[in-house]
Amino acid sequence: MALIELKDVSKLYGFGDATTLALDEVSVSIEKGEFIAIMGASGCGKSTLMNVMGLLDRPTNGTYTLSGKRVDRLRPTRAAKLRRDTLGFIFQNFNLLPKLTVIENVALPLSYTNMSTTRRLKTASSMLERVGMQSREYFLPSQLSGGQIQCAAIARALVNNPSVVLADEPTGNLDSAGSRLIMELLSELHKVGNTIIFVTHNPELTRYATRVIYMHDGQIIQDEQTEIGQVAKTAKAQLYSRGRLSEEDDMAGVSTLMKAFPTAEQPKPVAKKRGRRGGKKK
Amino acid sequence: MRALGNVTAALKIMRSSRTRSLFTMLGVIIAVAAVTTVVSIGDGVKQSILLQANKSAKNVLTIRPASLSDTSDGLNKINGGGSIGVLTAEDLKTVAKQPHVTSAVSLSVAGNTAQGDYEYKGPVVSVDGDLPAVVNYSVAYGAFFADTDAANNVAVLGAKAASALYNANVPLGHSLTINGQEFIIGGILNSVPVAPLSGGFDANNTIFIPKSAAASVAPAGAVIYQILAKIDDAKNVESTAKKMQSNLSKEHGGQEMIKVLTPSELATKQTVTLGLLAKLTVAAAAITLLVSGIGIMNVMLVSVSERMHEIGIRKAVGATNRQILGQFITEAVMLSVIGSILGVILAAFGCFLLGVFSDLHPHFNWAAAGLSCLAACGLGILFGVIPAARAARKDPISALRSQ
Repeated sequence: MALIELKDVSKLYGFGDATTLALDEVSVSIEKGEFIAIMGASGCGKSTLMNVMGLLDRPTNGTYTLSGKRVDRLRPTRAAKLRRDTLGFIFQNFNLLPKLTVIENVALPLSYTNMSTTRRLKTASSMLERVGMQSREYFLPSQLSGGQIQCAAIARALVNNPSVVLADEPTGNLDSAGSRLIMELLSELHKVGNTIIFVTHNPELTRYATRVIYMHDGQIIQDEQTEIGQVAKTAKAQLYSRGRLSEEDDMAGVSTLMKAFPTAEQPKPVAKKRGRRGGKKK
Repeated sequence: MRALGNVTAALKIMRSSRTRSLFTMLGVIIAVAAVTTVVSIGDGVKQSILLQANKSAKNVLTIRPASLSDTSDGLNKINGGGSIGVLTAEDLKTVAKQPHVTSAVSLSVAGNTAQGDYEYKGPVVSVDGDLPAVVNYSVAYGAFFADTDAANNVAVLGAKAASALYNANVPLGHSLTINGQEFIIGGILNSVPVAPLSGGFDANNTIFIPKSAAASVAPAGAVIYQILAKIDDAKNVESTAKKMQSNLSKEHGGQEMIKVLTPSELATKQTVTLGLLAKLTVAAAAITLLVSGIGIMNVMLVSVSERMHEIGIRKAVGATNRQILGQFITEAVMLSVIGSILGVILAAFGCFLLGVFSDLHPHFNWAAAGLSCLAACGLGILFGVIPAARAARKDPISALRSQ
């Protein structure tokens, strides 16, 4: 049985003349343990799809089955509990609470369960250790680099042991070193059996994925299985059809540096506690 | 467990925006402090009235027109005009004739201004020479006029009136003009303990003149506003009062125009004004509380819209509507709880200062403090609900999008 099953899911925004069709009868089935990249131009409905899958938004039409249960018409409280217990979110702009320390941020999802404070902090601490951030537990997010903040955000997404991790452009605000750190981390998580779905604009990042879904105007236009370590074919075509070092590539941040490492020996991201400026390699 | 978490989170938020929290709490602080202080002052005054009632002659009956016995402030009513001379010289005779009554004096108002070294506004009361004996007034300097002095224009001053009228420390023998009539100061009374704010008759402010001189000062005739009767023994007070009441009513054609008050009844009457004052203050404080509650609501509404993104994040990681509601209500309640505590501390400090630097001796009233705190917390919940509900209802996606 598929972990996530979307059937003819549509999402409409606005009404009357201003109606926007963000998702147009999308059907997709995701198995446990997949590492999925969702690609597409801005405004093609990637984020809406993520929000619907993450139970942050309700589809206008269609059915959504999560672990065999219909969840497209849940009450807000039930949806919140499912988010708490089975889903982990990673956002482009990190979304840590600025006034809480890293460990408090990571423990945040647990604070909505009945877990005791001590156990919460212990769990959060071990999760931070897993992402290599244990020495930064009592830092405020403002005292960390982008990559480190995103590591903390990943720890938060994982702290409730979710069955699916949803990452909406997790590397969008990071430089190449930060992006690599994050993708390596997600890749590690995938290896130990987590299901990960991430949105990206960067074709290079499809190297990490086992499956790439391409979207356009609210529809899935292609669904491609791919080898880990290989840039997906369609993405590659896209990559090489445009100027290699166009402004967009620079904006996406990673392309040139990404070429260097997939086959080369990679330093473990957990050993690196580099900031945004730590991008210069040794 | 979660409630405790909410409390610590709320405290953290308050710490991070101290100034705003303090200003939000200000209304609560002022309201709680005001209620507690005023009630405490009232308590202090009540206690000193009771103390005074216990100390002063227990065997003196006070006879007043019924219209004046409603409040203790009979003098002001007479000065304000409109009062009818209900008590007559006949009544004085009736009172004096009662069994167990050893002596009786009438007090009439003869004027309300006098000219010494300075002009003075205070009651001019014409009495018999027996007065000091009846009410235990002691004379500090000189002597109280005797009935034999009646023909002479002699005046006796209360302690405060003496210092207000003259430069001299002991103005014995100085002259005093009341309504064009000249008087010689024949005596000055010792200060008489009077409960502050009780609105009772204050001998310290009074100028006493002989009854026979009253006619020359007040051509229209001095109005008797009070008769004091001394009873031979304290145990006969109640029975005599009852008998006297019925006799006086009979003389006035069965109408209850005159009221005979025992010392304890008098003390109760005196606290009535005070109670009214306390009620007014409590009403004002209630309005302050209400306004401060609205203030809290306002700040919480601003806080909710400022922290919309945070609400979005919390919802995304699994907070239910109810948990968000709880968080924001806790914040509002914490504002009022801490405000109340600060208010009580302020009130305690205020009472202490008043006790040291004024003649009011507030008796700190814990019940008032507790009740006003409870009211403040109730308001915190009441006014915290609207912003909190707004936060809780917010759709997670749009909350996440707002910055």
